[in-house]
Amino acid sequence: MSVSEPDGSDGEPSLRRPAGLEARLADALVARLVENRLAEAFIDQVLRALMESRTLEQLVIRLLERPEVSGAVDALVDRQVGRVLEALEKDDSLRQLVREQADAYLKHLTEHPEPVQQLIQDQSRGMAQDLQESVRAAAIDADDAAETWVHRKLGRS
Amino acid sequence: MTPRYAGLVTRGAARLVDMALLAVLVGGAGWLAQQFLGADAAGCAPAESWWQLRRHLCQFLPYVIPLAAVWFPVLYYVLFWATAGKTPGMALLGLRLLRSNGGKVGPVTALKRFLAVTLSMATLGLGFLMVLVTERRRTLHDLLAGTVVVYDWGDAARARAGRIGV
Repeated sequence: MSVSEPDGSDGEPSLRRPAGLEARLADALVARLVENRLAEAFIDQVLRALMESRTLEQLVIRLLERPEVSGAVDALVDRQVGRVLEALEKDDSLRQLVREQADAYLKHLTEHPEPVQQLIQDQSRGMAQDLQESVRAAAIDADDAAETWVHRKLGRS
Repeated sequence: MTPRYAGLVTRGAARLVDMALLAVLVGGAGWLAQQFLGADAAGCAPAESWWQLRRHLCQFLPYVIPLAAVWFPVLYYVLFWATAGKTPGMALLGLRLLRSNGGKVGPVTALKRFLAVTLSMATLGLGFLMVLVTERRRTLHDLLAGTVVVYDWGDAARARAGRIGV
């Protein structure tokens, strides 16, 4: 089965994209895993066990060294990352977490506004200094230009 | 390092800034006097006793603005030149007033220079334009008071700009 690349070009479909049934199966699997909270603990345990053994690392390295597998992994990741992010966006607990973190940051900034105030002051001062220096430099150029013009008119060097 | 003497445009811009500030000061003083003494001098109640200070001062309201217009510029220029070596306008444009030997300007020299400025004005501005043709870019009042005006951006600004040898 031929699957077009997102940019419209035709790649090597059988190697770069899991297509048809495999793709739908992968989508369904990820959707279930994201939606099912019970799976979290299971995934956590599996991941911990895998991380502790060096077998996973060796397996992954060996797999990624094979170009056809590496391409398939890239394609699978590309395909699933968007779905995972989408699912996370809809997750109320994640929203709650983000809101809590934002509130914590805002509270911290309210209690300790000095760094932000200092930052704004430095920025304003820097802009004022730049403006002042450009005005001064322009005035000096105008001084020289006026003097040169008068000397030329008077026939002086 | 040899100082660079300031030219006509920079000095003129500094003077314009100072004149604007003086206008605000004189206008502000007049407004404050009117608020304190009463808006209309003709409507001042006559003072019946010596402690009625406000009524006494109210009689002088018409003279407040002319007096401020005469004395504020004298105080402004002489004080700033003698204490800081620069007026706010000169500070903004990065200028400093020095004696012609490079020393600091004192109150007598500052007063002398202020009076000499009136002579530069009396020549219809020719005294100011002398800066274009004299050595060390000196005006008539600089020559009479023995002063020079140099560029002075301060160490930090000079280091950033890297273009002024003051």
